[in-house]
This record gives sequence, C-alpha cells and structure tokens, in this order.
Amino acid sequence: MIWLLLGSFVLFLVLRFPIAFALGLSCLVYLLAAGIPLIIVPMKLYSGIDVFVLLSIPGFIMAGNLMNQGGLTEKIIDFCNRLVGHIRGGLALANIAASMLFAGISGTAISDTASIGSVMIPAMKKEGYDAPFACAVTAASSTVGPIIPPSVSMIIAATLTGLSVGKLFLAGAIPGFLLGVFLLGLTYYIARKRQYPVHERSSLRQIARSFYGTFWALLMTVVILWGIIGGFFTPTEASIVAVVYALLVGRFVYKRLTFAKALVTMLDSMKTSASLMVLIGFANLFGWILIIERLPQAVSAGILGFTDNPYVVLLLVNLLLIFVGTFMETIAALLILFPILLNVAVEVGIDPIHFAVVALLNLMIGLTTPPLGVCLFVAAGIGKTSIGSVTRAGFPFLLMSLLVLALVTLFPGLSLWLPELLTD
Amino acid sequence: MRSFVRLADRALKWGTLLMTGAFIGCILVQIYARLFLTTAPSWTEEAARLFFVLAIAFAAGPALKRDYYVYFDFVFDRLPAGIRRGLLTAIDALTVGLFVLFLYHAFGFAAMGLVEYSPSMQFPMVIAFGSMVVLGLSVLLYAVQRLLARLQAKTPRA
Repeated sequence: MIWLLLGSFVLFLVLRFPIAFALGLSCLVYLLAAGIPLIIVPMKLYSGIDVFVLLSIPGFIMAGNLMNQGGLTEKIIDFCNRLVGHIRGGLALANIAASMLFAGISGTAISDTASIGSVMIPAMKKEGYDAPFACAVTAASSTVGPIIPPSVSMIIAATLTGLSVGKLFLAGAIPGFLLGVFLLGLTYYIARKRQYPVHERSSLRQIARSFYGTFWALLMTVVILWGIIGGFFTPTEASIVAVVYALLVGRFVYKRLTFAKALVTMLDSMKTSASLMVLIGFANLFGWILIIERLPQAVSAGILGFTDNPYVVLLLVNLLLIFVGTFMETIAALLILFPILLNVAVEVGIDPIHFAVVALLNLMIGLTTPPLGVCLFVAAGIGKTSIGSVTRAGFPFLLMSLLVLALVTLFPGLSLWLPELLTD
Repeated sequence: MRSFVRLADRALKWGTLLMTGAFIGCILVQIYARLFLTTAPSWTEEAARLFFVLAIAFAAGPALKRDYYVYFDFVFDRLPAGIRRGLLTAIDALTVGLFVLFLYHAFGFAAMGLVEYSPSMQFPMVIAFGSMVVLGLSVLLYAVQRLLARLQAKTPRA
C-alpha cells in the first residue's frame, strides 16, 4: 500500500503537478485504495496549518517584501560593493556578501537567487565577468540565506518536531557565516586567477552613506533575533513586529511605501504563504499516512540494522538529502523527510538541533547540485546562458559547500555552541 | 462567468486582506498586553489562528491563479509540445477532481464543528472548520477557470 502512495506521488511530481497537489492526489489514491473515509483530507489539512508558530511564515515573508519596496536589494548590493568593490573580483564578492546580509530579510534561497541575481548577474556581465561564473556565484551564495536566521525552512523544521525556533535560528548562524566566508575565499581566488575587474576604493563617507541605506534593514534582523533570544517575543510575535517595523521604515525612512503598495505587497505575501500552507497541510496528511504505515519505524530499523555509528548515519543522511534536494523543493523535502530522519538521528544520539542544521544545509546544497539544482536554473535563466556552463562554473562552489557541510557534520559545536551560550 | 469570477476575485482579495489585518492586530494586542499589562488576554492566540487559517483559505485560490504553487518541470520541459499540452489539461482536470472531493468532505468537516466550541472564546468551531470550505471553493474556482480556458483554447471555433 505504501508503494501506491510513494509511487503515485513521484509520478505526479515528475508530470509537473504542483507539489502540494501531487501530495494531495497521491494521498487521495492511497485513501481510496485503503478504504479510509475522505473526511480525513480536510481534517488533516486544517490541523496542519492551524499552528500558531506557522503565523510567523507570512510575517517574515511580508516583512521582507515590504522592505524590498524601499529598494532594499539595490541598497544592500551598493553597500557591499562600496565595502569590498576595491578588492579583485569585488562585484562577485559583493554578490556573496549581499546574500549574507539579505539572508536576514528573505529567508528562501530561490527568492535570493531571483532578487539578487536580477541585479547582480547583468551588472557582473557588463563588467566583463563571464556569464556562467556570474550565475554560479549567485546560485551558490543564495544558499547561505536560509541557513542564516531568520529562516522559513527552520520555522517549518521546528514546527514539525517541536524544536525551539530560537535555538534553531542561533544554530544556523555560524554554519551560514562559515559557508559565506568559504565562498568569499574561493571567489577571491578565482577572481585573482582570471584577473576579474577591480573598482576604485570608496571613501569612508561613501561607505557610511551607503551603510545608512541598509542600516534599517539590518536593524530589523537584530530586532527579530534580540526579541526572540531575549525572551521578549515568540517567533510569531517577532515576525509581526518585523511587519510593523517594515511598514514604518518603508513609509517614513525610505519614503517609497504608499498605502496602496503596502496592500498589494501584503496580498502578494499572503498568496505566497497560502501556496506554502496548502503544501504544509497536504504534507501533514501525507506524514500521517506514513505514520500509520509505520514507515518511520521501517526506515529507522533499516538504517540502524546497517549501522548505529552516528557518523555513518549522518553520511547516509547527507547523501540522501543532497540527492532529494536536487529535484525536490526544500520545504516539501523537509516536510516529508525531516521527521522520519530525525527519528533515526535521535536513536543514535545525534543532537536534534545539530541534525536540523545538517539536514537544512544538505537541502540547500541540493539546490545547486546538478543536474536538477533549482537555483542553477533560476540563475542560468537570468544570465541567459546554458545550464551546462553554469553547472561547470558552479562545480568549485559545490565542492566548497560540501566542505562546509562536512565540517558542520563532523563538529557539532559549530551549530550547538551559540544556542548553548545564549539560551537556557 | 467572467463577471462572477471578477466578483469572486474581489471578495477573495478583501477577505484575505481583512483576515490578514485581523491576525496581525490580534498578535499586536498579545504583544502589548504581555509587555505592558499585568495579564495578557487568553483569546488572542486562538483568534489569531482563526483569522490566519481564514486568510490562507481566501488566498489559496488567487495563489493558483497567479501560479504560486511550485512544481518540478525538469522532465516536463523535455517532452514534445503535444504531450505537454495534454498533460497540462490532465493536471488541471485532476486538480479540479481533487478539490471537488475536498470541498464535498470539507462540508462534512465543517458540520462537525456545529457541536464543538473553541476553548477560550467559545465560538462554534463550524466557523474555524468552515475555513476548509472557503479554501476548497477558492481553489476550485480558479482550477475550473484554468481548465475551461485550456479546453476552449484547444477547441477550434466553428
């Protein structure tokens, strides 16, 4: 019976059904075959989205979109360019630095690729960088975003398993920063080797003026994290504070946000959130079927029958998640696989927070892994170049990301030190 | 049909915005009460969840209209144009089928809420469970519209 569910899901997925509906239809096939009353479908969809912490998802999406109405992407890019533009390959370095800063605002890798890429890739091409390299840098750097807090994927991982959102946010900070620094190092090395262009050094006044443009956006991330860690707000409350903050900054500081624009942005953010929530709702039903079919126990027994060494388990999980991440949307993969695999990880004594960061890092790397890495496709589309050339140009970045994954996997302290230091 | 869809567009748009404003308002009351008052009201979380689920229900259909639901098109893009067209029609038809069944059972689910009451606000749960009827209707409307548009595009004019 379980094969009917999994087989029909893969079939619907490959045939280009929206992932949410592919989940719903495969569940329907299973329920009809198993003779389970279909009233379970709306019941499970409702219980899947009627969760308080999920309210933070539209909150963070809305705050990011409202901030962007003030031309935030361009401001962040300008600031990073002023800061590192005088170094060889400065624009490529600014691309990565902008992704690290933008991470706090957006929280999803594909939107980072699209928003930063649409500004940076044409600019890099114009300055003489080859298009595949420009696309590869953008795709690789956008995977940093969902690791550095706040992150929509982390909120979902926490909701599924009862982990603390605040601890997960903190756990992602060092691995995200490490990934960004490694990508910066590699880009600098390639830029020197290929003699990519250098900008004039900006004066302190120019840097300060450009910093002012991004200051309010960066402050939003600080307010969110300070509020959650300091115990002033729950993650949901922090996201709504961020919305109000973004409205005020957009209206009174950036002075670009009108009432009509704010309404359109809110509506747009709710549509994005609704598509995610329908996915989460159907995944809740899918997960329920996996549980009644005792699949988590079967997977757990299968892996533990093979090994109980935590490092071998992590290696197997890494391979599986990178493979899945190449063709499946991060949140869908997280919803289906994370609770099952966490079960196995906890059985062999792996810390759940550490495991969550490793899992998320894997899924992010999957987004830039050929042949199906979604970020590679988005970047290649913007750069109007072939996916094959972007894949080749992205290979060194992929190796660097895998190196960071290996470090984060082998040294749990990289993800656990900060949450242990700052929370009870 | 066109004027009905236009009317539904407007209703879903304002439904989404009102419910969004309401859940944001509830959470702001919660923050204010916890930080500045001695006791925080118990109803804010429940009301926020209710408005949130309703906002999602209203927005789910317009999200389909604007193609916000992510899909995997690596295999699809490599298929011949004729097969792609047929597949898109099949996707729309099966989506309609899924949501017809969903809507039918959502009514049953909502009816279960007639005799249940929310823990802190004591409103009948039919209001909350009814959000699934709204969600079903909202998605179904645009799924049917897409299917009809695709079928009409295929049928040559007499």
